[in-house]
Amino acid sequence: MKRFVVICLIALVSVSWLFAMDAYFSGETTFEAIVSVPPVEEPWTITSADINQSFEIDAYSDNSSLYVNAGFSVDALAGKLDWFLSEAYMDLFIDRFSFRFGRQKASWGTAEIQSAVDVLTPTDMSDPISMDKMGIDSLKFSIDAFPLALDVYWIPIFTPSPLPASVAAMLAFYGIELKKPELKFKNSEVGVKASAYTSAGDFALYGYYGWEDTPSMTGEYERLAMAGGSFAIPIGEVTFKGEAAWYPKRDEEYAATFGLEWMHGDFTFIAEAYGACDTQNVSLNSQVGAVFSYDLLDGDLQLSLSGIVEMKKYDGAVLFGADYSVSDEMKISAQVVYVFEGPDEAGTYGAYKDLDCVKLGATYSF
Amino acid sequence: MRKSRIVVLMTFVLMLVTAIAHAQDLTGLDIIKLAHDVPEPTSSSVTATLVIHSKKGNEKTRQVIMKSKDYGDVTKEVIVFTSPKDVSGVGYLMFNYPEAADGSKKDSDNWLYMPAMKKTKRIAASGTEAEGNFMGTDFTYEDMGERAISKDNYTLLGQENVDGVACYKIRCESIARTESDPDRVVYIGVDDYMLYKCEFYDRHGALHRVLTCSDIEYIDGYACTKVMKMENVQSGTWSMITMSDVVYDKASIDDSIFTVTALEQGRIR
Repeated sequence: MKRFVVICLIALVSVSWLFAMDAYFSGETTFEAIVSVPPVEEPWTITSADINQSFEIDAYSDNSSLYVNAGFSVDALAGKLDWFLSEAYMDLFIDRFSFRFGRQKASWGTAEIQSAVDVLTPTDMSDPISMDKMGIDSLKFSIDAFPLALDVYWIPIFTPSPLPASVAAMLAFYGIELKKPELKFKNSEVGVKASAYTSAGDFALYGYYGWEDTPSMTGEYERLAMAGGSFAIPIGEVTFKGEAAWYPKRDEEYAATFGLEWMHGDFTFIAEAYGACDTQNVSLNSQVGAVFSYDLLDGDLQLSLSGIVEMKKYDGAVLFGADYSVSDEMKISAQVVYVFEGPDEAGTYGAYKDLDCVKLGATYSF
Repeated sequence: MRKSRIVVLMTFVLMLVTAIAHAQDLTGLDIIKLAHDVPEPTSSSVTATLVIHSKKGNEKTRQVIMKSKDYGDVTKEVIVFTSPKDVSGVGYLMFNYPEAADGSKKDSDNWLYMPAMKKTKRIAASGTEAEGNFMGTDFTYEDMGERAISKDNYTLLGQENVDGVACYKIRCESIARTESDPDRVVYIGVDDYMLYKCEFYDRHGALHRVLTCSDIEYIDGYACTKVMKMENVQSGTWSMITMSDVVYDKASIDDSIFTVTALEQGRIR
């Protein structure tokens, strides 16, 4: 009874607070279907069909704001319904200082294809095509002293990356149980980002101490520490970008990404090279990737072609995408994904060779 | 009675002659300078509705909040989309630097925030500036800013009415000739030195675009063009920008909103 009264009081205060603010409600209905294509073993099979309904609340007053993105998804093939809370946070602004409490997403670094420093927010690996970010339950404290800025994250609740179905099945097959870090203060994760925005370019330093987002073969999540930096320097029509990081607790102890982004009218070209090595400077992972995108029909149609190759085993993936805005509310999209193995070994990307598919989607916004 | 009529008539003729003589004294460059010197607010906040009309007759509507502040050595501007949903929250932060005495100009600093990616990208100045389309409209980024006087040669072609308003008609020819529309004919109000119309001519001398400005109102002592329509006569498309909620020189336009952190926090309302 006491708990019920407390919940009612919290709900009453929250609703009253929400209505005291300027509040906007919106949402998106998304339909996505994936059809396998040759050369997979069973081509022209619908492997996935999902309907996703999200609702958003965006409310604000002079010194505070609230954002919620939640909804449900229906797996039409399995007949399964799932609820999700993508983000739910409150901001409080006090002069140059601000606090953000709740489930939130963040992105570190300047790379577009493969980042060396983006370890703060885990990735949803159960969908290897989208690779969406996961929200982390955290408190963020920021100081905005432009051109300098500081963000400090305290993450008391660990959020792992959802694993690809094949990896989850393999762990289950061997009876390996996932052991998440216990909910204790000493198991909290901490992230710090210090940025400088100048006419010459943007520069940032990063520090992180927490846990790996994916488990080891024993099912345990290992400790992770990272110190890194990034830059983005615009020269003419090109922005040169780079990231470098040191991971003292990883085999791949050093990682770096360098690349450029060229924007010319409706055309954008991004090229990046990523490398990671151990203390003996033995290269453990190196990749190159590129993205071309072009806007047509006054921006209603966007075509993109992206590709990535792992340079040790020469496996990789190519993705062609087309997004068309039927109207301000309605958008349709199509993606063709082709994954290829290396000549000798499957490699990291080649392991997903059964992922060759066409992904069709439609989104209605309100 | 007859004497007083003659005095009135003579006074009128004298005023007319003086006005004509005054107008004849002014060169195209003088008028452009007077238009350039029309008082502008140090800071502004507006809600702009952008209607983009395609050749086939389809219309798209975008709504943005635009805030700017002139700090003397830099003008800071922030633009945030509020609708439609797929671009809501996308924001640009731009620092524009004035032209130096020798005609040189430092590249602007530009940032683009994309809420879907939770990321702010540093954008190269040339990627957004000059002749790039302003948010998918028929306007270019250069159209939205102030063109340096030293970039053109000016010839006064005479006077012509635009929607019943007497205007000076001036031909502006680019010195560099590198623009896709190197020549313009501008129509500047005789009384208020405001821009009422501008015709843009391409490198072949063909009419490319026509800008018409209307609903000029005075807000807090500053002239504000509330409706701007740009018609691309070659492609058959047009775009219209309508300003509302115009606020000039108010304390509410806080310095703290012109930062990357404010852009990421969604504090620009």
